[in-house]
Amino acid sequence: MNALERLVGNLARLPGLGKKSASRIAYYLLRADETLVRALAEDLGLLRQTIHACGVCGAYTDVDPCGICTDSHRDRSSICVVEEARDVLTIESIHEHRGLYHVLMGAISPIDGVGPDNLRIASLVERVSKGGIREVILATNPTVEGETTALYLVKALRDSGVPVSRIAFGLPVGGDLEFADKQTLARSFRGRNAF
Amino acid sequence: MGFERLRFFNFRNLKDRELFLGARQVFLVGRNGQGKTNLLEAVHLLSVGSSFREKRDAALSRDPSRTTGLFASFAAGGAAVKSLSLQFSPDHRKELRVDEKTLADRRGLLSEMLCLCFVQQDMEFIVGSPEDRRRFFDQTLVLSDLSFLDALRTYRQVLKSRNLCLRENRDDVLEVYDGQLAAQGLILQNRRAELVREFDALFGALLAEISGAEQEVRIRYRPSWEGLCTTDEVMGHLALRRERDRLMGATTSGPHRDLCSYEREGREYSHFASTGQLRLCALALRVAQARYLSERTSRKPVLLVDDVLLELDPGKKSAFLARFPSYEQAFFTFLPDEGWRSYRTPDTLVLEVEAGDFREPGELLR
Repeated sequence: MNALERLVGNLARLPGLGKKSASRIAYYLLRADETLVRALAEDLGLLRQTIHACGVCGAYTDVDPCGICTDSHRDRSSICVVEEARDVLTIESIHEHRGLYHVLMGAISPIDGVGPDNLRIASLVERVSKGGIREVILATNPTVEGETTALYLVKALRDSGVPVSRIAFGLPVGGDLEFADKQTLARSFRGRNAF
Repeated sequence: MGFERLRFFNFRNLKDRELFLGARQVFLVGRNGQGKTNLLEAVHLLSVGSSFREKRDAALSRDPSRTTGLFASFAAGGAAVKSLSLQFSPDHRKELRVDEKTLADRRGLLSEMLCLCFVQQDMEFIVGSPEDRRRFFDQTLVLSDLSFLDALRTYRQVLKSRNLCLRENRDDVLEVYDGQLAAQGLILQNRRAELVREFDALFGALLAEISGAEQEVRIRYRPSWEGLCTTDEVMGHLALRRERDRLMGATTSGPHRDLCSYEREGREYSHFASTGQLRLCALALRVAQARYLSERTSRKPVLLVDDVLLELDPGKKSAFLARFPSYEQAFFTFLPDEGWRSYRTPDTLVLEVEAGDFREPGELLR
């Protein structure tokens, strides 16, 4: 097996890529600009060496603690809890949350062998009980696992006395009621706000 | 118009070919074991995504080492023609497509089609296990409102996780699952109770009309959480039963333990009714279902009627046909000497079925 075949095989193992897309990428790289290919190879090599989970919030970073945790302009009294490190990037992109984050590294799912002890829940409780936190925002996914995790966190944080909120679920902005799926529509009705 | 064309390959005993239907009524006439029910099954698979008699997809392929495919063009109520396709590959992959778009889930198909069958297996709704009996009402609720399917799926997922926590003594998470089980379970319980209430009157009247009997058969729904109405009440109940649940390694109460029974004068009907009476009961259930869903969804169903007229005496047969629900298209199976000619209308296509092949009847059947 030559390098091209190995590359296609390895790319096809990545999420979201099939054999066809993998070979398209590999053939593109064969003819692409040399600097792009070198930069890509270098970044791939450095990825696991330099990027680690932040010791405080769990987001991926090359410095510890990460830039968000050390940013003095951020609101240090509010923590947004997410399932995965990539969720931090998503929420950061909307510039709505100016507080800190806490990445759980998953969600409770006994069927997949993930219990509360396998998640970064103890460190969250510790962070919150140290004081100075006025709100914990739960931004886990609207799935059974995400919901279970959120309900579990409410229980785990109860003794701290810190208010816990859950992000709202409902219709996409700019969307049309006609095209909304019924489950989302029903949920947006249950979570309606007073004008 | 319903199904206009049907094409199948490597499916059951049916010969690989295309059939042009284009009639409001399709009569499939043939001896036993020739492939009449297989054609109904193909239509059901294309409309619902599953078979009415076989749980394993692999059993549907004539040669399991090859791909099996079903294709159809379908148009209802003056709407544009849709193309439907369903393929099973030998590596157990199933692909459903509507208008060349792959559906990730059967859910998408159910919002497009309404297909109901009258088959021998329907008797299980009345005499079968509690699960079989619940299935009829759950099926009706799913077809009338897909959000019930979401609630049912969430409930099952929570139930599975809760059972695992019971077996593994994960008390810390159990309380969280109790809350979710209670909330989702009450949705199911309330919807089932509401449906049975509406259905009871509709079904009882229909059965009395078809059977000519005076005593009404009533449907009785007995929820496992009877008398519990709020999430807190159910959570209290779950907490009280927790030790018992733990011993059993499973959740022993909830909508997955609900019972439905058919009663006459307060007695379980299946204990004393004859097979013929039970068959009529199943027919009345299906007619009531078709009427209920037509009204709720403003769609006319495609009906698949398999051998059910066979066992009725002439009086009940005509009473049943007089109350036959309105439909977009109906497929009926008949034995050659069953007197099917008298049921023909100008919009009937008769197909003679023999050894998995179809042809318009020759002199013998005409």
